[in-house]
Amino acid sequence: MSLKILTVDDSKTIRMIVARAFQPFDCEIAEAANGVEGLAAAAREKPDLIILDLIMPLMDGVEMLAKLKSDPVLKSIPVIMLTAEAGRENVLKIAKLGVRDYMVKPFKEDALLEKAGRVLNLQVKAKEKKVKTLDDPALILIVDDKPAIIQQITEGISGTPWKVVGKAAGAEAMAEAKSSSPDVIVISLSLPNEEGFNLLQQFRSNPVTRGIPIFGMCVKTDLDLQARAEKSGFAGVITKPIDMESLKTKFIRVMELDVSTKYFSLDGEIQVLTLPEKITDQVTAAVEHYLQLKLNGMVDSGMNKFIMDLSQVVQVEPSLVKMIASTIQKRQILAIKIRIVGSPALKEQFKSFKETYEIKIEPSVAEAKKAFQPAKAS
Amino acid sequence: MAASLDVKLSDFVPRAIIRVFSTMMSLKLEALDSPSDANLQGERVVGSVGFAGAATGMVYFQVTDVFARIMTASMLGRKLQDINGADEVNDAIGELSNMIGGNLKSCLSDSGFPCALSIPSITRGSSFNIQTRNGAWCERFAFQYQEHHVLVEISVRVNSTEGGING
Repeated sequence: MSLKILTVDDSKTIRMIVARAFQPFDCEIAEAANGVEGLAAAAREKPDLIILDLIMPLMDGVEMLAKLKSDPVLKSIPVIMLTAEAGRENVLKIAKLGVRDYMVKPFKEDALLEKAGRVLNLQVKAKEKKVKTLDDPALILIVDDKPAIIQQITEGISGTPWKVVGKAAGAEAMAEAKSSSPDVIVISLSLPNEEGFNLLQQFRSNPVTRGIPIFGMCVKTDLDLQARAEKSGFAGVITKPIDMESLKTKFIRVMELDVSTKYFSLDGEIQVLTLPEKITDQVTAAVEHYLQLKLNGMVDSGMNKFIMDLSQVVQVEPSLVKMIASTIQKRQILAIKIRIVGSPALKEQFKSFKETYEIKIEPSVAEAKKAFQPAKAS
Repeated sequence: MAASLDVKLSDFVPRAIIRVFSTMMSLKLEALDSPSDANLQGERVVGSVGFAGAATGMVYFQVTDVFARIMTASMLGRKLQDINGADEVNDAIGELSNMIGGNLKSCLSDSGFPCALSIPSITRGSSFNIQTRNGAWCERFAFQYQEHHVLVEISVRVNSTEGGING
């Protein structure tokens, strides 16, 4: 559910700046130009937060706040004062009024979001989180003072549309993250002075960067550091030496990428599943995740032909056998015709398993397509 | 006007104005040594904010209409051609005047001159002559951003028992 924020300021410019600051978040912004309008809007909108100017015509911020606090329905609404006056006396006066926080103009939108983020659980708008696939670009921010590691990761993901930006220190990384909103952040836990852990807290306390998945990175043998990182709220730990396949799988998982395009494709009216040479646990998990959705989608759209192309697979693993058995079972329920493509060597390996002992293997996709056609009467 | 309590405007006013520009508009102002309104040619937009109390006076914030539009566009994060009419510009200049006045008021209050701030107002025109009342201290500060100039005039009068203002 959207949060409601009420900005009360006699300057339309400031109201527009406030609205712009919250634009990326799932918030509705209500506006009022003075205390009188502000009280009416507060009663009408029941906002989750009020950002209140001090000096305004008709009714100033102090009077509006006093009336707000004396109203049993409205008194619990948190208020952040946004004022051009920062004198000691003024700050003390504001503090006594029971405001949650205050900001002095001039102000940066980031700072306002940070203060609002302490009061509200700001969430990035759902429409901003469109489902991405493996073909979509993504930005990976690596925070490490060792250029060789940044280079290694850059080269390791070179076959993807992802881009790596490397920063050696926390301040630069924070500035980069605020301006470019990376999809994933990796922080070296060997940065001096606990900077890796401190940086995680900074990212987590800023509403703009709060939702970005962040990995810690350390040497494989440093188990204590890995355990500490897991407890500190990192999305996971990447260990060095870096296994690039595992790294990519972790990135795919936290970015919630739709990897179905990697395995599933359409050939006319036929749904094709193409499995890679090596069937790892990650591949099995990804394919099984999408298999049911694809099969349901086929039935929904009136399709009934499915090819499992295993021609690249070299070694039959029990997980593959299980997947085939499960697919054949679903086929019977959903009335889908299945053809399996593989090499003669694969066919031999399938004979070692009870579930696939009698399975029919087509030598190519073309033959599999032909096999869907009804046999001609002789 | 007594001078037992020093409030040196030149110590904080330029710093405060440069900070307002950099924070709200990401514009880097340079302070100039010799303030003059000779550089403000054509139509001028003047934001003014008054303060009253132990210290009484006015802050006048003057820029050309051209620069006022650039500043408004920067504040709102919009293109210059998307700034519609004088109302948007007046509001932005009024708010900037309010921020400059608020900074000054905070400094005066912290120095023992509590005062209250007025709502900003805007004057437009091409020929101005701002004169201070007898007994008021008046100081001018000039700034430049590229070819654009900014002139800030501050007049302050304090109760003789309270202290004084030094330039």
